[in-house]
Amino acid sequence: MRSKKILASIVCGLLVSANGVMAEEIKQGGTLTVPIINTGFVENFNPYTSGGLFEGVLYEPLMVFNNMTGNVEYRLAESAEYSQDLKTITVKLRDGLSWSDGKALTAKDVAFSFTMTKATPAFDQKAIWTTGNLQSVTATDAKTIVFKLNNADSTFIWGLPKYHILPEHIWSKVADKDLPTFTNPNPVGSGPMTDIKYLKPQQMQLCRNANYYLPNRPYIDCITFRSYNDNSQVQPALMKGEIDWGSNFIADIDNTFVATDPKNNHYWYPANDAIHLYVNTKEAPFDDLNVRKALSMALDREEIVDIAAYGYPTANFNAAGIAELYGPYISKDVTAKYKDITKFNPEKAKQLLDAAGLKDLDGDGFRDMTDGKRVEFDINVVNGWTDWIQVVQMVTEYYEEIGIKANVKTVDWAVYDSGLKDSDYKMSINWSMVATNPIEAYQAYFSTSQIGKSWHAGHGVHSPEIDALIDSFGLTNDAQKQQAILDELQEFTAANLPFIPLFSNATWFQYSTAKLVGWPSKENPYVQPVWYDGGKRNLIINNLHLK
Amino acid sequence: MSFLLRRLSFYFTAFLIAISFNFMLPRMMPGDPIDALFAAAQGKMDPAQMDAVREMYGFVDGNVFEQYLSYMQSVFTLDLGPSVLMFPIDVTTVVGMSLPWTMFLALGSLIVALILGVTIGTYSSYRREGFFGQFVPPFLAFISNFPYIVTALLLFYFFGLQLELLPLAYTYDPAIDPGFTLEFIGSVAKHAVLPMGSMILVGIATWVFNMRNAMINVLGEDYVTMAEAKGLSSFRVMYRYAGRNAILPVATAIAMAIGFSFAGSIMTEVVFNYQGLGNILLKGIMARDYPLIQAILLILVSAVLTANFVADLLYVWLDPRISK
Repeated sequence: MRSKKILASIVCGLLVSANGVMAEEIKQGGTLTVPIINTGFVENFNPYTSGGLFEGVLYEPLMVFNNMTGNVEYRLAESAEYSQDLKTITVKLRDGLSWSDGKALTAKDVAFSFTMTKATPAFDQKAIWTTGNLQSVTATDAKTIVFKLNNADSTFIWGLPKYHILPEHIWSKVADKDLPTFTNPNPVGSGPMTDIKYLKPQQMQLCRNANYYLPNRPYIDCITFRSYNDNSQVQPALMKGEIDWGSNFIADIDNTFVATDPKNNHYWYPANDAIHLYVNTKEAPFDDLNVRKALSMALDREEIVDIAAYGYPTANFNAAGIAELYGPYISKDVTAKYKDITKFNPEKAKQLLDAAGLKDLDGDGFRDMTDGKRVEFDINVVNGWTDWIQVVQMVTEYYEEIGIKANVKTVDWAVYDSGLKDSDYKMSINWSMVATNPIEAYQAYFSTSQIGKSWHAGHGVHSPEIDALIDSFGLTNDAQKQQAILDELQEFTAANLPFIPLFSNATWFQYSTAKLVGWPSKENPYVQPVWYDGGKRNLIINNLHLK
Repeated sequence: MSFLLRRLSFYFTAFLIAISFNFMLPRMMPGDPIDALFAAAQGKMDPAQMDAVREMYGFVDGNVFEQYLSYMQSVFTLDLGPSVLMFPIDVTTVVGMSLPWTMFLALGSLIVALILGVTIGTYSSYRREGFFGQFVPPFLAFISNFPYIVTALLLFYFFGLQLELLPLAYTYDPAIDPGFTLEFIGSVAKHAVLPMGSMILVGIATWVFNMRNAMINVLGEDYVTMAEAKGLSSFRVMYRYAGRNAILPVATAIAMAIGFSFAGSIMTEVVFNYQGLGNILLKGIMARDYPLIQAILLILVSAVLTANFVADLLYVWLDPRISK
């Protein structure tokens, strides 16, 4: 009896104190300051032409596909359902939504926002109208929007958050032809920060939306954007405490940033996109799979990451085209089956090259083709991307060890860009797609429709079967069937090795807890900490609060 | 008069050639504005959207000659269209925002360098046997041979990054409101010290040597010896007798220097993130923002040509024999 009483009082006490802590912990107020790399701020609040500056801040997305947790975080929408035949999507809005000017936000606004991009193809972010899978968007009642598709496509829904939900009572007054140049003065939105306090060329401030649909959110009062020229200026600003949130590479961060205030200065670098050396398999000697394998085995990925990239990225030993970012989708069987390809083994690499007929004929220390011409190629990398240049530099040193002459070739962005798209390279370091699902990465690698358009499809490994396989993904909503397709794609990638995996890039994320807490972190990884993504940044802004 | 007409037609031809280069140069760089924009969106745009965006920015692939004609028209009507970088803001507005800062930087540093340079030049030529005359001009010549960017980076590193004495970026502290307040003017001055200082350091030697050489010639003239013989104070001889005559060739050099000063401010602005034309020119080039690049180059070309024309006029005024 007595013990029960004690237990009860303990429980009560816990409850009370828990409430007390909660009430005390979440304080309202405070300002978040973030760096923006641009030329300065101008009076343009059109979400489609302002470089993504206001996504997730002034404008609330329908939903956020959270790749860190695998959840769909519903924002303006309450639910989104596919029909059985995958040709209809029904989106339901939350109750009692309103715009920052007090007018009600209804399904009509949402339908209007999508239909508007039909007349203005430049706003059609995922080309849902121009390439034609979307048939119609209609508001069936005040809360319900129905998307009708021409063909079944379970991947269509991922594109919805790319479209901004805009107030019909303002945007419908603008003529279609004027939409691209419409600067949307005195913007009305539904995001957490809608009140433009001031706008100066080098700094601007937005403050909380009094009509935001979540009670007491955002906790912070305002967000300040500060304009910087480039990364090199963001670094000192972060060290001086001028900004709270950094998204840039910082050399030797433990000593330069964390050490200046170990209690408040933190960083968290979760895995981002996989970085590969793309190989042009249409040209000798890269047309020989064994040569590609040898070039992969010649590399000590751990060393490259540690020395050339300061240890921030994670070495990627999966030859199947995806890495840590897509962790749950990785096929362990495929990884295990092809694990030798990514294991550092220069001796084996030499054997493979010998067997492929690449031998040093003239005794200069470098291998030659069978016709006596030296094997020599350039590895393209963008001018000024210092960490990648160092990586490629190290790669060429490893290749020299196995008698292959490779050169670092730094080129201007435009040359690099067109080289990748037009398949005008021998070898090029490049990233891969960050998306809701790895199928989008495979689409960019292998779909023949992507040749000449994507940065990732220039390697020359394609097949009609793989095209069909990729297309079949959208025809099912069944997670198991989808995983089977992904497994097959992983097997295909590892077996053909169109690129040599190196490492997973880090998501650059530095933050200061001097004023604000609630940041995503290793202990609380609620979202991938990316500023340059409207949805992810929206979740973070909603979580930050005063210390 | 016929001299003026000849010069005018010469400058007009030069102007036409220069603006044609303005048209060609950005187009000779690989990539176009939409590629650059697309890259900046980091794969968030669908490739199918590119053509639509290209059309929105007005880059419909007409033939080059048509593009050239419409470019020429836009130059003479000063309607340069929207900037790509800051779409849909007009290029004229973007330039209008940053031109005053560049003028402040370029002309301000020119004036300070001129006053200091002429003073030092006069004094060092008059006392050219002394320590000052022997040491200062060569030292300044040494400093001025550093390219703008090196001087700017050195100042940036020592005064901004290491000593933290002066701000590293911006034209004024973004936290304060612009206006005729002491706080604002102080902030502008503080932010101008490093960029202007680096330009003055580089520019000053030209004036020292211009003035010194002219002075040395004049100092050999009989009327200077006469003035000295009369027992006039050395200050009076230096400034009233020698200085006034020696400054004539310097005056014409000023006109030329204006153009160079504008060009020099470009590098300085980039280093100090000073929000002038040079800064946005660099951004514009990286974004392949043709309208913006063209507008800024147009201003630079006009500044150099106008300054040269003014120099020509000055010559005529100073030496009537030229117009014959």
